[in-house]
Amino acid sequence: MSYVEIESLVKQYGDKTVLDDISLSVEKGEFITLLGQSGCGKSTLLRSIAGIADVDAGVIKVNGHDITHLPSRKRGIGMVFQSYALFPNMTVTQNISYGLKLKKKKGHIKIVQDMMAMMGLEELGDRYPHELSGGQQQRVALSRSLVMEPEVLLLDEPFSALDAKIRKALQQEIKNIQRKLNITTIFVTHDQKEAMILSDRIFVMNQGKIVQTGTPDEVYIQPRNKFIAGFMGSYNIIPLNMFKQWTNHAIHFEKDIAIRPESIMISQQEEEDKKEQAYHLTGKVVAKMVTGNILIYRVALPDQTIQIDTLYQYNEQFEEGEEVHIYIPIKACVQVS
Amino acid sequence: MKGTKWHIIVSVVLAIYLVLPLVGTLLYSLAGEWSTTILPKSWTFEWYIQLFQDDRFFQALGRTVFVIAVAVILSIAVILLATITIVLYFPKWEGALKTIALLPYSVPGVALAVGLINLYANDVVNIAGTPWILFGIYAIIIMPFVYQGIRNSLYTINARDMIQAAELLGASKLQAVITVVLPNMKKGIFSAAFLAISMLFGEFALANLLVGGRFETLQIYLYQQLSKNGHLTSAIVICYYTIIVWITLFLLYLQSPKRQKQTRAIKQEMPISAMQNANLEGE
Repeated sequence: MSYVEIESLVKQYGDKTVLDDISLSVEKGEFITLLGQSGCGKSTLLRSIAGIADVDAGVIKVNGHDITHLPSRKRGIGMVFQSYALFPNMTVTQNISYGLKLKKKKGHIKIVQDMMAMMGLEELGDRYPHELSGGQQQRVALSRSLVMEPEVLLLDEPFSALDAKIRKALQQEIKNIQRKLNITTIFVTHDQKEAMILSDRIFVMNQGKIVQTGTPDEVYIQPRNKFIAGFMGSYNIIPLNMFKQWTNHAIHFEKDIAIRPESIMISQQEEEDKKEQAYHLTGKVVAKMVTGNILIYRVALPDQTIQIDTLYQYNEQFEEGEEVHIYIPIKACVQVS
Repeated sequence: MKGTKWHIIVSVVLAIYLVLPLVGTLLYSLAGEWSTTILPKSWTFEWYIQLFQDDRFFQALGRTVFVIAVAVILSIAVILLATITIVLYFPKWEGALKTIALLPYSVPGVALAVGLINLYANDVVNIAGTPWILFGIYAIIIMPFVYQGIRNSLYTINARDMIQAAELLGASKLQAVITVVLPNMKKGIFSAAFLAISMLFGEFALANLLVGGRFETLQIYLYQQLSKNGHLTSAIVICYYTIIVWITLFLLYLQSPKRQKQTRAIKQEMPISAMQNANLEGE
């Protein structure tokens, strides 16, 4: 029996099914991510677990207890909102001790102090939320949930309002704290990079369903369908017929083929040794883009243009209009439906 | 440059147009003899002394304050509860609440009065002509303003998220509203209240039609003095304006962003200077 068990959860708004028979399980101490585009139902699922959205059918169990119909204040679940939802009329200290005071827990002052020390908030205790930066507000929101020692911590796109640099630092910090406290965490995001950095496992969602589950590596390397391939990376999707023409029916594939742009090799010369493990094609560079550490080429092959990513090193570069040899490793070809 | 000049001229003309009647009233309330000259021939405080010695004036003022206080509290209590409940738990019905709350705004005063007399002069409820009717009707006519103020502040503070956050931390709905929502709405509620007060202070039509001389409010007293002594009336108007100006200033003070910044600046002084020191040391 897993720590968090969700069975056949259904939620409908009018005719629209927001959660379509969702089942999932999370182990104790695991960090999982619900990943999907806006409107895929990931936030609704999170809110159902928190008890701030009710469900039409299904069961939610935490640590063996059925919490499906418990009010949110009795669920023992912590949540960091996208807007942080700090209480503007209270100082940082008051915000963090809010829940413990309601519980009339003994020694709450010490607990709050320890938490603030751990989160680097000692200096900010008397400040009000509007006097804090976005990153600081987020730490307060996280501390406020963590002092309650929740059985499950829910994070609803907590990084979306932060700029890139702070976001990276906080991602690392949250991951460290989660490991340290061994707290079961469910994280919601639409950012696949963020999901891959943080998660033990990723649940990819689309139209109210979980479409694929796996470690970040599995989901990235072995996308099950075109939607996931498109969402996880900028996969090249090659229709089966076209791929058969390119490769002269070399291997028996049954579905369309997805190929990661960074797995394709590009070269000026024909290289015999690469041909054993890869399909060899020739094409013409139609565009070259520098995005920073990655160089992106668009190469025209018969009837389709594909994307190839290379690291920006001091190696050979290819100009627009140049004829090139490309090698698609057999292992890199993923069948997708 | 030409544009700036033009702006100044328009502003000055407008200011004169708006202030002149008030200045005239002020002068007249202080004038002894004033008939054929541009400015009064002699000055006197007599009218103010007369006014402040008149018990009827203070009684009228007292009645006005009392009626307004009851009406504003009643209106805020009802609308606050209704708005919080509907916005947070029955958002579907918000359109209906809005329509109802804004309805009094679109009904002309006279029509409102006639309708209310009919409504309250029946066998079951017969309070037409008594002061009681004023509490109810005043609470209703300020409803659009009170509703807008409360609704806006409820949305600005992102009340839904805050209540949910509080509940997840173990608070009941009521606890959440009392500890988290209401303290943050204080400013909005005060603004709504003072807007309503300054509106009701000048209300004459409904009071006169519904209650008239039986319950003399400030405006009715003013109206009745009008025929007797112009100087005295001017003095009343000036007093009345002074009260309104103070209410308005207080309202502006409540809403000024400066007030918040000041408190913030004091609190931030320390860390900022500390940061600057650190930077200097670093260099």
